[in-house]
Amino acid sequence: MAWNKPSIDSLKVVGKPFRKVDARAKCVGQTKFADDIVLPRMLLCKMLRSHLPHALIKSVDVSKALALPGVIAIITGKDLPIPYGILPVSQDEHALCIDKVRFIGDPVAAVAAIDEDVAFDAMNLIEVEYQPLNTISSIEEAVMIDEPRIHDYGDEGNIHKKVSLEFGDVEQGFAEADLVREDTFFYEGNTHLPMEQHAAVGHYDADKKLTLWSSTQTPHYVHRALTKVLELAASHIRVIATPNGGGFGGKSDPFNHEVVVCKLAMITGRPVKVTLTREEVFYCHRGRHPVLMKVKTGVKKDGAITGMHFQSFLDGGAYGSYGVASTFYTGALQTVTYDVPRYKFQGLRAFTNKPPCGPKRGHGTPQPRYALEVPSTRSPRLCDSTQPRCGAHTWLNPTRPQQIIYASAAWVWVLVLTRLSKAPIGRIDFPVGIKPIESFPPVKALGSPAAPISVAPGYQSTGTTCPSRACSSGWIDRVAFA
Amino acid sequence: MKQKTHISFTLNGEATEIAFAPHKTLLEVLREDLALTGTKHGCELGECGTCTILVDGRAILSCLMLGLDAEGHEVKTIEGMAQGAELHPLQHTFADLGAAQCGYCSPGFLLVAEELLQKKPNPTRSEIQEALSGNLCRCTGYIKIYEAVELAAARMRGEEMELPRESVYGLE
Repeated sequence: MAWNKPSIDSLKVVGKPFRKVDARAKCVGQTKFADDIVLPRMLLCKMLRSHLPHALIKSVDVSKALALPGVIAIITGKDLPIPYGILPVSQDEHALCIDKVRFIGDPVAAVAAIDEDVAFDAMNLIEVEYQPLNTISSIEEAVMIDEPRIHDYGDEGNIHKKVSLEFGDVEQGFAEADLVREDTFFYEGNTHLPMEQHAAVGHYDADKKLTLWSSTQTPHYVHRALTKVLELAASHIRVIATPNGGGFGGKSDPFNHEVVVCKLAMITGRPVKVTLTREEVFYCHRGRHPVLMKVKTGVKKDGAITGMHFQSFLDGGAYGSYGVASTFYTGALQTVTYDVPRYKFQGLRAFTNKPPCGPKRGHGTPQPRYALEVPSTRSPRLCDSTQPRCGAHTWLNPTRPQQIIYASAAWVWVLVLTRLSKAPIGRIDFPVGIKPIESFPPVKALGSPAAPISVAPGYQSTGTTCPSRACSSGWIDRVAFA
Repeated sequence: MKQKTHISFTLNGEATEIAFAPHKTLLEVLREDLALTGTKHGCELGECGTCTILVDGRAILSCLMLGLDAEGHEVKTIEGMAQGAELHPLQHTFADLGAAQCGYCSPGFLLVAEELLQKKPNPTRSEIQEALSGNLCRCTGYIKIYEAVELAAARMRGEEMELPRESVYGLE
């Protein structure tokens, strides 16, 4: 296992741990997260959420709740009629539902009270009459069932958005191939689960200036949404992003609870705080989209790809969120990782009566990476046995620098996984045309032959250039156990 | 209005009296009635370890303990871990080695680690893993946390130890 570790002792920065500027405050409990903020006369907010996945709101009666001692204000959907959303093309959210709920957890009313217990009791005194609608619960149902529509916008029925991308003649590619594989995969989705639940404090002062402290990753988008929904001048709103107790994409949308505490602060003239329970964080969600993926790949005997047709069907949940971008991302970055000379992509995002999906660490890109690596791992068996290197690495083109970055990044991750899984350090074959760097340790196949570990690397764009160009950092999306 | 209950206990070495609604958990009493917001909440179900404090030197989940039950006990929170302005060795190493990233789980980890090093000044890696297994971190991947505990343990024993490099270089 001996290998020549680069000498770093002479370097000042490389290989040296550097303390983060705010690390000590975090280790003594001084860092103020959003829920740690307490202001004089502050009210606490609880939101009444729908217990039905899909229903029309017939009536909301807050009179009993308002009569409870300690309740200062209650708002419902009619108090916040202007829609918002993270993307200009998906302004489909209301801070509180007006005439319809679209998933279990969709908020209908919000209470501000002198403490959280009173707010909770008042929340349970609000009477909502619903008229249930049929539930759209899966991608298949959303594609097959047009009525009832979850939203009255979108491409058709319960299809939110269709996107496509194509270059070259894929049919010609399949005709030239020695082998055409067709595979179907389903990725079931997951969620960010940061340790800190979302929290926000709104404060509207006597000079008509609004301040929001929130555990948000995107204060400027929140600022824009508040300007629109509350109809305040942008210069009269200040959004302070407090330190995040983890976010991972799950705090990147303007959220209903952020709008609600600002509105309640404006009505009551007092600061208002909301802190979500762990259960409510799952309603906020915006986690990784479940994706049904169909991939048709043509390969030559030497492993070279001749063409690829990739179709993705995303379960978007009840609202748009970043979904249009996520849908595009499931297809746009397939051709960066490997040399794909002809490519056709068709993506579709469906509305379902579930918490809305959005950006999570790679934002639509990791799901298809897994779908693409599995056939690449399986292909060798079907290829010419005299070509021992037929497999994922022969899909790489060493003349394209981003693919060399890919190979290097994959190699590092294999090493990390080896370490974490306690598997013996093995050897991996480097892609054709890429020589092992001598200071790296020898590598060989990982684990037992029965349970090899596969790495499914992917690309994400940095900056604002076109994601299909070689402009990426070579990070690894996820690990697939193939 | 609701009646409050009254307890006296030792908090971070100081005699403390406080009145609060009797159904409150110790987590809520610390954060809301005593303004010690260094103790965090992650699930309030006893799953994540984020709200860990020390009661009579033992790591306890403050979300599962009633404030009333603190009567007469010695409670230590993250705010009481440093000696005055001088940080505990664990606080130094957690900060220096990147073991505190977002910092939300760090108070819980630090107090569990403090209890471990009180009992076992020279723990093995597996003993550290076992001791910290009730705490979740979503940022670091844990290795930096283990290294920070090992370095602090060495310093508390008065031993020299080379800075850990595993999280930088992987397995050598």
